[in-house]
Amino acid sequence: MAEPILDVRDLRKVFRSRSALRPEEFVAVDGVTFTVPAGGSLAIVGESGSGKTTCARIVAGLVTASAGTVVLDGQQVVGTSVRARRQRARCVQMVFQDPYQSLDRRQTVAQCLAEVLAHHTTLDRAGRNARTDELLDLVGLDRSHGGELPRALSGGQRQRVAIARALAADPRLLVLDEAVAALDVSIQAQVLNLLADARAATGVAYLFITHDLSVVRHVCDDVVVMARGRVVESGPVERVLDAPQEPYTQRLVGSIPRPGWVPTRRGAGRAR
Amino acid sequence: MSARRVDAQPMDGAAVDGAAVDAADGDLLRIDDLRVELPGPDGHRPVLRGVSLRMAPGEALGLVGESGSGKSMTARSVLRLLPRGARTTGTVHVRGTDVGRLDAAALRRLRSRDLAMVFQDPRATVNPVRTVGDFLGEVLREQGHSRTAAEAEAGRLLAEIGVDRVERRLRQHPHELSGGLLQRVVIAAALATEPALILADEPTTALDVTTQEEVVAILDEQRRQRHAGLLFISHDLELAAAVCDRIAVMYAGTVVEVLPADRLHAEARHPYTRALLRARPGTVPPGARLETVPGRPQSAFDAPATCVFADRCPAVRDVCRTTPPEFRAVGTGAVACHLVPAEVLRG
Repeated sequence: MAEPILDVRDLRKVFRSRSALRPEEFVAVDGVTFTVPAGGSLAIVGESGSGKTTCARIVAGLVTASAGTVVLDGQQVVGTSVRARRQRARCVQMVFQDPYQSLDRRQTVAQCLAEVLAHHTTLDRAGRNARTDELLDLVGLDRSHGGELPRALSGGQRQRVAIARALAADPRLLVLDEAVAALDVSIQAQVLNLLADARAATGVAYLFITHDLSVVRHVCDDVVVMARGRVVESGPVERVLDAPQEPYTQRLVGSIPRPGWVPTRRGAGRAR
Repeated sequence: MSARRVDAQPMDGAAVDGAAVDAADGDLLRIDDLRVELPGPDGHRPVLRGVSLRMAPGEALGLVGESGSGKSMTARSVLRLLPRGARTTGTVHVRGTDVGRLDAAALRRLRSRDLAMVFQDPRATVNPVRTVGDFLGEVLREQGHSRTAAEAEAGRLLAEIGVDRVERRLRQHPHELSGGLLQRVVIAAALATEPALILADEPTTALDVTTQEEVVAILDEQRRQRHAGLLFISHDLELAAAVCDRIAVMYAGTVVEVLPADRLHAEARHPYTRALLRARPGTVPPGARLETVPGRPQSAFDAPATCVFADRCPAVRDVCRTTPPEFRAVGTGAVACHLVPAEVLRG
C-alpha cells in the first residue's frame, strides 16, 4: 500500500450542550480509525447522524476532535493557528454539498480561483490567469465562464467551480462531503467522470462522504460504513458492498432501489 | 409487486357534484394537452408544453425527470395549485370532473376529499407548534368525525402504518419526531380522507435509504389496500419503477415516454430515457466512464420548439429540428421520438 496521505486513529468527538441547567453530552464520533493512501479514494458511508460529516470536518480542520490523532501527509495536525490552518489547507481541501451556498455570489469564477491561487502559490498575475484557465479546462468549464457570477451558472456548473477552487491549492487530499448528492442524474454522471479524470490527472486522493452506495462503487477503492458514530464495517468496496458481513451494511445495501427491487416493511418502530 | 391491481373505483357522487360529470369517462385522472405559462421578468414563459396523461382507478403512475422538467407543476395543476398569474390551457379531469371549471367550494371539496398530497419535506407540511394529534385530528374532524372519534381514528391510522407508541406520538410535536416518522404522519393524514388519488411529490427524497424503503413500502401497501391511485413524482427511476405500475418520463415540460414499470429497462426507447438509465453509477463496471448526456437539462423555455431533446440527443437527425414528434403508441408503451423505427411501431 502506498504511503498514507491521511491517517486517522481513534477519533472521538463529543458535543456538549451549553445549557447550564441540563448539561448533555452527545458522542458524534466514537473511536473511528481509517487511512487514505496517497492518490487513493476512500468513502465514508452512513445515514444521517452516523458521524460521517463530523469526521470529514475534523479532517478538514473545521471541527476540533475531542480525542484521537489526525496525521496528514506524515505530519500530525495540531493547533488552529493561522499558520497551522494555512499549512493544512495546502494539503487538504473540501467540497461541500450545496454549490449555491459554498460560492461567494459577488465574486466571478475567475476571481474566486485567483484568490485561492494568490493565497497558496507564488504565481504572478499572468501565471494565475494561466492556471485559472487550466483549472477551468480540468473541470470541463468553458473559459468564458471565468467572467460569470455564480448566479449565471447552473447547479452542476457551480459544483465544477467548487471543485476547481478546491483543486487550485494543489491539495493532496480532497474531502467531498455529499458533493454530488444535490445534482440531477445526468449532471451527477458528468461530475463523477470529472472527479475520476481529476484524480488521474493530479494524483489527488479523495475522502468521499456520501449516503449513496452506487456512487461509492463507482469512484472509491475502499469504504468505511458508519452508524451512530462508530465504524460498522470497512474494507475494499467490492468486498463490503457485494458481500457485506454486518447486518447493518446488509440492510443499507438492500435498501438501494434497483431493477427488480421490492421495498419491504420491517418491524414497526425501527425508525426513531 | 407482481400483483398489478386495477380495481373498479366506487364512484363517490357527493364529492363531484356541482360540476359536469362525463359518465363515459372511467379514468381516475385524465390530463389533455396541458400547457402552463408562468409570468417572468420578460413576460410569460412556458413550464408545461402539452402534457397528456391518463390514469386508471387504483393505478400507480411514476412521473420521473430531472429538475425543471415539469413533474411538480403537473401535479400542482391537478390540484389547481399554480402560482399567481399562471396561464393554463388544456384540461385536467379527476374522475370525470373538469378541475378547471370547479367553483371555489367544489375545488375545496376536491382538494380535501378526492385528492391528497404528500410533499418532500414533512416539516413544511405539519404545523410545528401543534401536536401530531392536533394535526391528524384537524384532518379527521374536517371529514365529519367528532373530537373523540377523531382521536381514536388518528391512533388507529398511525398504528396501521407501523408507528409505535401511538399514544405518546399523538402528544408529541413535530420537532420530537425523526423525518421518516413525521413523513409517515403526513401519509397517515393523506390516507385519512380516503382519497381516490394520492399525489406524492418526492416523498422520500429527504430521507435516509433504509427509511425511504420503509416509507415507500407503507405508501405502496396502504394505497393498494384502499384502492387509491398514486401519482408518484421522483427523480429516481429505479425507485419509481419499484412503486408504480407505469412510468412517465418528462423532459422540458413534456412527456417523452410512457411505459410499464417492469419493462423500463427492457423497452425504454426514447434516447433521453435510455440516457437517464445509463447515467446512474452502478450501471457500468466500477471505474468505467459513465455515459453522460452532453449539455445540461433544459427547461420548457430553453428547449427547442420541435423535439425538446434535439439539442442534446446523441442520435439527432434533421427531422428532429424541423417537426415536433408525435406521441405514438409503441409496443407496451408510448414515445415521442422520430427515431423510433416504423417496424417497431407495427410490432
